[in-house]
Amino acid sequence: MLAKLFKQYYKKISPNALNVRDFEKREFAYMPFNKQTMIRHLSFTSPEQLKSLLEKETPLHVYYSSAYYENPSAPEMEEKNWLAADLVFDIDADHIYTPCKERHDTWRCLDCGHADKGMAPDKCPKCGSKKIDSESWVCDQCLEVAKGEALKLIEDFLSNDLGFSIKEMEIVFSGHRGFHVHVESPSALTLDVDARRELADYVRGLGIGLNFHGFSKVSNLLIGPSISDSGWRGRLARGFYDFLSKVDEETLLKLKMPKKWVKYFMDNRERIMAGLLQNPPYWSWLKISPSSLDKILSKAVECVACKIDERVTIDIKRLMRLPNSLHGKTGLIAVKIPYTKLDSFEPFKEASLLRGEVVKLKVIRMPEIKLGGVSIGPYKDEVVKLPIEIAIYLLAKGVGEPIEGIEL
Amino acid sequence: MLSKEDLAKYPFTSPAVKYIKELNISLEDLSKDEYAKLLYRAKERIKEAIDRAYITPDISDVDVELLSHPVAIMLVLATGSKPLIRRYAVAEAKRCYELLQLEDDDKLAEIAKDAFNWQVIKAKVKVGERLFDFAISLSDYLKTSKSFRSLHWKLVNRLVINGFVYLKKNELARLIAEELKNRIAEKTPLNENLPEKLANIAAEALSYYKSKVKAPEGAEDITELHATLSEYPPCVRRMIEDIKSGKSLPHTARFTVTTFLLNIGKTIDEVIDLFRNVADFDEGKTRYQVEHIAGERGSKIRYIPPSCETLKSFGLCTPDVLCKGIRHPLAYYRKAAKLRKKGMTIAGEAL
Repeated sequence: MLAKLFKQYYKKISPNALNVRDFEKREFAYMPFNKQTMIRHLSFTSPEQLKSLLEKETPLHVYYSSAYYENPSAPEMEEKNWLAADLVFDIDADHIYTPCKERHDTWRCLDCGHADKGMAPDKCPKCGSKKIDSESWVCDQCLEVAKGEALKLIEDFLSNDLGFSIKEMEIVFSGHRGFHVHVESPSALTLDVDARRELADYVRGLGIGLNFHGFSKVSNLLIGPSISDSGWRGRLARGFYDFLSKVDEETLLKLKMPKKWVKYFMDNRERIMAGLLQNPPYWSWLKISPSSLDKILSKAVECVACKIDERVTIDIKRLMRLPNSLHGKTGLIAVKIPYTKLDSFEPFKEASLLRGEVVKLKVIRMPEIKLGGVSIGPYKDEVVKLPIEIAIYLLAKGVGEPIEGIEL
Repeated sequence: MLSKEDLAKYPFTSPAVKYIKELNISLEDLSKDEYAKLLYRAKERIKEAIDRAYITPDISDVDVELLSHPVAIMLVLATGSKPLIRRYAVAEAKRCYELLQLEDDDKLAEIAKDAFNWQVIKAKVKVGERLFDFAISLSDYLKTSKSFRSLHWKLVNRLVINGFVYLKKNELARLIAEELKNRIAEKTPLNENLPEKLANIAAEALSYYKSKVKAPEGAEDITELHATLSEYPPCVRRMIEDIKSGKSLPHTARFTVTTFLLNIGKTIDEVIDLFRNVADFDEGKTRYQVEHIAGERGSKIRYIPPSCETLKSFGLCTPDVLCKGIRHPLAYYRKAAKLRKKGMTIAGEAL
């Protein structure tokens, strides 16, 4: 059923929609239905050629290389002759904590069988195994968080600080609950692995030090940056402001801040926060040494840094999901999103194969999720009427079975 | 405009290179008596570089100073010794750094643009209490700053606005010197035959260098490193080769080598000896870091090498056939040692 839908999609698609910059220099790869193998090292001279392959093979997933190669179809990496690569950023709600995950996501350890609700851990808390199988769901809240991160990445980091033009970025829906940002600026293409790691660290705020951003102690005064400063200076000031204006007593004590100070801070928070907003800012009311401030640095950074999957950025030979191809596990289209439309993007409206119709489907399991402001589920082993875009999603996830006699 | 004296100080700038080219001096010419002073100065440069990783500027004769730069580099390249080439590069960079700091802003910007085609703007921006004199394009900054390991150079600790990284004057000077060092150090050793007189100077320089480089303490243990090297995972093997050729490795690679060797039972001294050839080797600093990693300082945590996955993300993974199914460098070592005990060959063939 899903394969049929996919085939129809690739049959109808305009070859132009499958085009990527320097098409003939890219490696393509795909994963067929019902096979856990990847067919790699493909290259095409035109999007038409690729389209006819997709139509014929109807793959579950389609990928292309972020890299440009002289010989993209060479079977050995060394023979491909790497020329350049887009600078890619991956934002995925899987890697960002959201409270709603406690309600809709589950995971299971493949080694010891331990299972729980919520965000999948890196390793099993019971046996330490890293083989974790998770079931995650798209929901409004997860998407909002991912969108927020993507906008912060694009506007604040890539454009304002790093100087890349938004016109030279391609924003693509990951097909699940994230976004890929491909920077195609000439100055980005030839950056090596080290340079990309530095950029990833910059965006994540990794390795940041207070003393490099204007924090110092002069006699008894704490000097610090202003929230309106450029770059990480201002961002750090905003991070401290955000964190300190929301934090509770318990959290501060957990961070090993001195008890006496925590009491002072809680009693005087309003005045202290007002001081940080002054121009120039007045940090001394915090009555804290730079070394104590260091203890809450990572929390402040967390408030303002961008949560990307750094491995994607650092890898100069990564295979990325092809824009406008289908995500085999969600049935959604990895659509390109114009920057101005990102804020209002709704995947089940703008990235669905089919829309509108209501169909009957047997749902094996589904937690309650909120999509487009509407709650759906929970369902367990029951036949329900659902909008077709949700039905396709459940089919692709393998938790829905079409009812006999009903054509999707 | 750069004066002739400037060209002698900064012989790597394009007008200097052009000037040298137009003189059209051949290798054979250099053996003639009229160039004796030039050869002498070139030798002096190399000797001082070997002795104290520095070259004292001498602009009493600008032509000699200017021309002795490429000649000295050629002689050093002719020795074929990568560690010596690196040491010379470090010395030239230090000479250049000291001179650059004395220049005014206009000249400094001109040299940066002219020598390396860098995009540099004179900024004069005051942020908080800090005054920045220059800004350099992000890609130029990243390319050169990657060999610095201090956190101060890390991009996240810099002021970055609209694709430009803000620098103080001495920082731009440092960056120019570093780029000069990299460009000399990356040159390939010379293989062609030089005229006898020049070949002799190169040979002298090499034997002088060898006599000056401290024979590593516990040299036998280093040979033992050789003997079991084939059992090291290919990534570590390659890092050790790089270190031995005097290359300066990124922090992550040094950390990997150090933790690997300590974990297979090498002593702290053995590990330090391995690093002795690195151009900017500093025994005190290296010892501190190795002891730290060995868990004898600070946190008292004994570190283990990063996993294969992490190494992959650092771009340090260079797998061979034996890597299949291996997730950690130490696991490779155990697997290889086991295979050897069974009498199987373990020569790693590139995948």
